[in-house]
Amino acid sequence: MRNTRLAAALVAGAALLAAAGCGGDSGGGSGDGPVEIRFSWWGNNDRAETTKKVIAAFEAKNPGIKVTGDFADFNAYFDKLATEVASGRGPDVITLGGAYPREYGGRGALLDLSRVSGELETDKIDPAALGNGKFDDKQFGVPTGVNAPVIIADPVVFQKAGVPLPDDATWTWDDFVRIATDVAKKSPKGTYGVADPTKSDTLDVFSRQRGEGLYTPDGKLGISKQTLVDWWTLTTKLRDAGASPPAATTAELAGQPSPEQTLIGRGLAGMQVDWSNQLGALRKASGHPLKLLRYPGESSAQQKGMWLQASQVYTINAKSKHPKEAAKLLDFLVNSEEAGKLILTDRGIPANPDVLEAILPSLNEDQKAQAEFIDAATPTMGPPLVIGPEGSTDTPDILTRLNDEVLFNRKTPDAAADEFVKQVEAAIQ
Amino acid sequence: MSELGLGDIAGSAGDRGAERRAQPSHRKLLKSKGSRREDRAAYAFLLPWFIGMAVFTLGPILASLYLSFTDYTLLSPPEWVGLDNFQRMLDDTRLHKSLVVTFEYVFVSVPLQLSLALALAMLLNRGVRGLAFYRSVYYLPSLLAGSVSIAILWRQIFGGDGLVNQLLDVVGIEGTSWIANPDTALGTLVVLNAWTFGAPMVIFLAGLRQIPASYYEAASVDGAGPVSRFFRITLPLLTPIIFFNVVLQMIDAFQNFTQAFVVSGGKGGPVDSTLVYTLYLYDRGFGSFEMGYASALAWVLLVIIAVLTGVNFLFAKKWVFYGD
Amino acid sequence: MATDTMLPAGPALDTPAERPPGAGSGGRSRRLGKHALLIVLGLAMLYPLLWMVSSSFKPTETIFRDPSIWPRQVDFDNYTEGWTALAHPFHFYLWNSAVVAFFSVVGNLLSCSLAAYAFARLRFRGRAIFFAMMLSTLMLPIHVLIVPRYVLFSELGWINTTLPLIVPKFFATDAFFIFLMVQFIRGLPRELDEAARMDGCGHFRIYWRIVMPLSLPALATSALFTFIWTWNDFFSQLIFLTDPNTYTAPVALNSFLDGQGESAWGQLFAMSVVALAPIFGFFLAGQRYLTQGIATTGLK
Repeated sequence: MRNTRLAAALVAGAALLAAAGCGGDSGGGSGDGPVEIRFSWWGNNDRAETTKKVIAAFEAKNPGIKVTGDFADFNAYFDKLATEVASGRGPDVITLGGAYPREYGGRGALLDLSRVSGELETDKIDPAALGNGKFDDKQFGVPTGVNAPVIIADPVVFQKAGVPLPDDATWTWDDFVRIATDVAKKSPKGTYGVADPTKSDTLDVFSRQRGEGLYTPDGKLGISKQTLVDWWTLTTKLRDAGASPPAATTAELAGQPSPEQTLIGRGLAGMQVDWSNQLGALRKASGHPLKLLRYPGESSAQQKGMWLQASQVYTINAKSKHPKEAAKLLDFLVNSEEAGKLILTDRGIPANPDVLEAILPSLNEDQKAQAEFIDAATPTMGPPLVIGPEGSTDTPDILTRLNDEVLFNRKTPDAAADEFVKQVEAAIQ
Repeated sequence: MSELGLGDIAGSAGDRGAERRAQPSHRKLLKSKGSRREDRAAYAFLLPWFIGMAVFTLGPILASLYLSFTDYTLLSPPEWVGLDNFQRMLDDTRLHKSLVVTFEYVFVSVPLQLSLALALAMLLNRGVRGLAFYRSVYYLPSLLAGSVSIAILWRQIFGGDGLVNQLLDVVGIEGTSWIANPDTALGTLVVLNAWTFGAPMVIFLAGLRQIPASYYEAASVDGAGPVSRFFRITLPLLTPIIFFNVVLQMIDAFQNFTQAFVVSGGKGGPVDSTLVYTLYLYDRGFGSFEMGYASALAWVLLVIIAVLTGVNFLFAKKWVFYGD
Repeated sequence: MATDTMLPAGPALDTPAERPPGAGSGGRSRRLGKHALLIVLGLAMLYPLLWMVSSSFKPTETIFRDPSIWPRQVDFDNYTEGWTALAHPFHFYLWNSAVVAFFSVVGNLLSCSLAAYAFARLRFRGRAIFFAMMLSTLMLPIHVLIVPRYVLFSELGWINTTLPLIVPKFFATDAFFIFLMVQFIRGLPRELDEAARMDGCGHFRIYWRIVMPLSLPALATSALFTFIWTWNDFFSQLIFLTDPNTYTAPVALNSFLDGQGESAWGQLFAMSVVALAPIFGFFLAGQRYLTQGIATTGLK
């Protein structure tokens, strides 16, 4: 059996071999010596320093377990992760986010966490956020913390333009267009009311307000063509009014995702759609405090569009040789005050209220603002987000492409909407 | 061997038969007695390469060939699908777009980069004071070309408020964002590639260095001027190196990934205008977990490059002169 | 006797580059024009680099808000802080890179030149096919090879060591350099080795005593490129090195970045400048060998 397998692998490809699970792992000797597990995440060096301290604290409490951590920048991280998991040598504890839990879990790469429920408690975690790690009725991941889609506003730009900040409890999408236009008109050339707001998250909010949603629970496309047409009609209106920047600027920004390079990070826009946890980085970039606002249209919507999002999700490799130890680490990361006090809001506002309580006194101004915003907004959040099915990691790129075509007037909103439906359906089929 | 005159060099460019030189009897002698021995010697010299090929290279290559006939999501084992992946390419409009982009890129950027490199190598090979300094300055960009910093630097130059537009502003022209405009974005990639002409330039310089001084002396004795020396000695003797650069830069340009990746943030935007082939392939393989399809794409690319390289080698018989 | 012919007989005479500047045609103004051209071009080449150097002296927050090339204030914080910001001081990563680069250079020079000699000088069965195979290994993008390669190296137990980066170099896996050396060797007049063969020299002696010394520019070029490419290679080092204790400079530089959150741009630029210095130094030192005329007077 093994011989034929080896022979097949030699001829047909080494990848097969790995899929059959021949990857030798370190720490194989389970009887003696500490169990070694590997934990990987993305991010910069600051996050790594923090995480190293958390690992040390965990090891102190669990002398039988040794944790090695490794990390890389977001893009590099996912290339490396895919390579390792494909070869059957992935890390034991894997950090994922967005649609990735489903991409990995749906293909059998992640452990169903109910199998380690003895080591990992999830009952304290906010159920909405927990939903981000759940699909096919299985819990594959635990949120590292929560986060919400928001509008970030720059009070200084508003003030200079002499426009009052909107009342985010009541504002509508018409108000949004009007205010953005107003800010742009009264600001110097090159400063805009809002950076082009087209992102897949925004589409989610916008369509959920109409009772739709980007995806349906059974993994189909949920957003209707009409909603897409209306969206692009709105954004082209913003562009034509000069409220959002011309197509070329938007396209240029699409290639530079770091907060320092965004319009609001450079003090060149009144508003920007983003995630609440970007507040700190954007504030640092712009050099003055910024404000979190709820999305427009929430008060009059058929259904609330905003939701609590897991900033990241911790998962366990299905091939892990030490799932129990991995689960222990995961439990420590999300449920222990000790870890919480080290991580603070680096991976989102802790989803376990006890941990949040414990860290509140140590938060800085921006972190407090996020925690307060999330706390205040939680009761008015819409239903948990439907996670995109396998293949949906393509959606943001499809959207960026079509959005560029719309903004450059190469496609009408109507044609782009058709194309979006077609391409996303092909990607997730 | 003083009979090796100038006429011999120039004249023999088109005639590269094994027995073309003097002493035919000598060659024949070697051949009859030594063909088997030469085989053995060659295989001994190639031993490390054979081992490397068998152990490190062939396995992954064959694996990717196999995977090109499978549906392989990276995360679950590959499933044999026959020719499906290749079938799919026929209707893949993004692939067609990326082929157009890639061919445009290759056929503009390679000649541009190589002519720059050759011109500068010629210029720097002549008597210019501060030679080492210039050479280093021109080579510096090549050291940087793949780094993250380039992505940012390139925006500082070709972005909406970048250097180019500031300069244009001085003469009263309002520029666009060259990087974000679908009509000009690929152009900035071509410029970026041209900017890194340092590598082929160094190879040219090394080639120029290898031309024996005695040839020039012989030419001087024959009374040849600088122009005729260039066309009758430098150029013919440099042809193997020019050929090398053409072949390799072309292979390289077809696989240009890093520059397109950093400049477009990995997406090939705007509107796929910089979606070079390998970027699309990467996007399929790692972005969308379609490694089976990506492998099929890779093998199609291999065929394209191999055919064009073959054409290169065929034409080489007409213009490349070897000393052997 | 053969050795006499192949020994360098003193410095090369009057190769074109050694000709004193201005000799022959062209006056002072023409020379000035040439320099002006070279300088303008040089500035265009250097602008992005200067921008990077300038940014490395700016506090991170101001790099994008104030992108002008003249920093308002010059401070060295990015250098001092960047050097110690990571788990190890930055020279630790430079050293790791240097080790990988050094062995890669040695491996490539030895193994590729052997293979190149065979392809360039010997007629043997399978030559055309092997040559085509060799070239075609250049034609597949790394992204479809990386997973099988990872499996291979993990089967060998080499993950998280520098072996996957170094060992293949000793087995002529860099076809680029084989082809490069083949072209150079084929450009060498064959008379020398034929004479040596008449004198009973074996192929190895011809390779070692005649072809290699004459191929100095090709070897220098190969060494230079191997060093630089290894030094700059991010992808495979990222994939094969997992433990931060084995990180090389490019991988370490990456940890100043966060695609989604805050990036330490200032420190990134500062350390990029630092990481650039060794390859620039290597280039300055190495180019001497590119420009030295080869003593081929024995040919006459």
